Amino acid sequence: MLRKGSYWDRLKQADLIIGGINFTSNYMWVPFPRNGYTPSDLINRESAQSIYGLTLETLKIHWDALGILAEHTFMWPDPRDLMYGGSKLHLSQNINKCSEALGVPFPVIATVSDPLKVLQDIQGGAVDAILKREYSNASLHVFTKYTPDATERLMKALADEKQAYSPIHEGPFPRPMWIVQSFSSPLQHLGEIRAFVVNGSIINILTTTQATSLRPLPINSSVWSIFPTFHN
Amino acid sequence: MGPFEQHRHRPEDIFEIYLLKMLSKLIIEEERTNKFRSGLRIFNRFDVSVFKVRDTGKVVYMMNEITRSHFTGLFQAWDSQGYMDVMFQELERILHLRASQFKKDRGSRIQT
Repeated sequence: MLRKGSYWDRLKQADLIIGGINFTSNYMWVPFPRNGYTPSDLINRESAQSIYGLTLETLKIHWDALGILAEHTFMWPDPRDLMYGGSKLHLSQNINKCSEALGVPFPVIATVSDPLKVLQDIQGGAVDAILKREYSNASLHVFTKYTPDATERLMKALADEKQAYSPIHEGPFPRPMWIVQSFSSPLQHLGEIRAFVVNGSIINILTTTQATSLRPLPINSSVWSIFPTFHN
Repeated sequence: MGPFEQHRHRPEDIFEIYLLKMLSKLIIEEERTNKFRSGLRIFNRFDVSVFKVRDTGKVVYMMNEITRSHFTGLFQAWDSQGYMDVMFQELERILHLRASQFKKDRGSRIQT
């Protein structure tokens, strides 16, 4: 985002700006490109071949410009909100705090300093847990006991991460933390529900329960019958 | 059996109550921590795991993920009921409302 010329001036005068880089995701690197470009494929520090032609240096300029722009016009999503949302550690801590306040269960999480060692423990069965990383999406940085080629994938991810983040430990782009999340063996996983909320109203609820051949399913009475004994 | 036991919530009601309670608590906590308005006020997708406790059969929810960006997967291919059209209409409405509020607030700040 160049802060000069009529384009910049027009942006500052806009009533509403929608879109921008998805800072919740792996915005610094593309470790596992699939089908060509992915939404994460925005930043390529080696060259300006990415979708927006940004390098690390121009990304910093872009971030500063977003801050200035946010003072002039309403932006959705707020880049700061996205940067916060990408931090799974902070988000999990908040979710856990709120869950505890409501008296509902939550998974135990902990940061990991040696992801490779933890992955070995998970795959060897010594630890019943999931290893995952902040600022990632589509399970690109999620490792379980059953992840194929897990060690090779993790080593590649760590090498990419070191290359992408090493020049900028400080500043607006935090180095992603690796987190381990516990499994609870007394719990049987029935599935996952996805609920869309706009302006505090639940608009739509889907289930991606694997027990059915159709996924996702719209929630209706027949789907709720899968979970007949809800308690809260 | 007392009269009020006839009005126990259905499973879907209990789930929605859980979601809305979590939403309000998360917004308060985020805004207390971050010192800026939480994007959860406008839009988000909650991913909630459903578990059954083996010993008791009790079913519990666990908040797994919260997606809040314009990159959120909407599963529109399965939206035969047109729910997401309603979502876009509501999103459009709230974005314009927030934009006009922002403009008004900014005008007040400049004047003072």
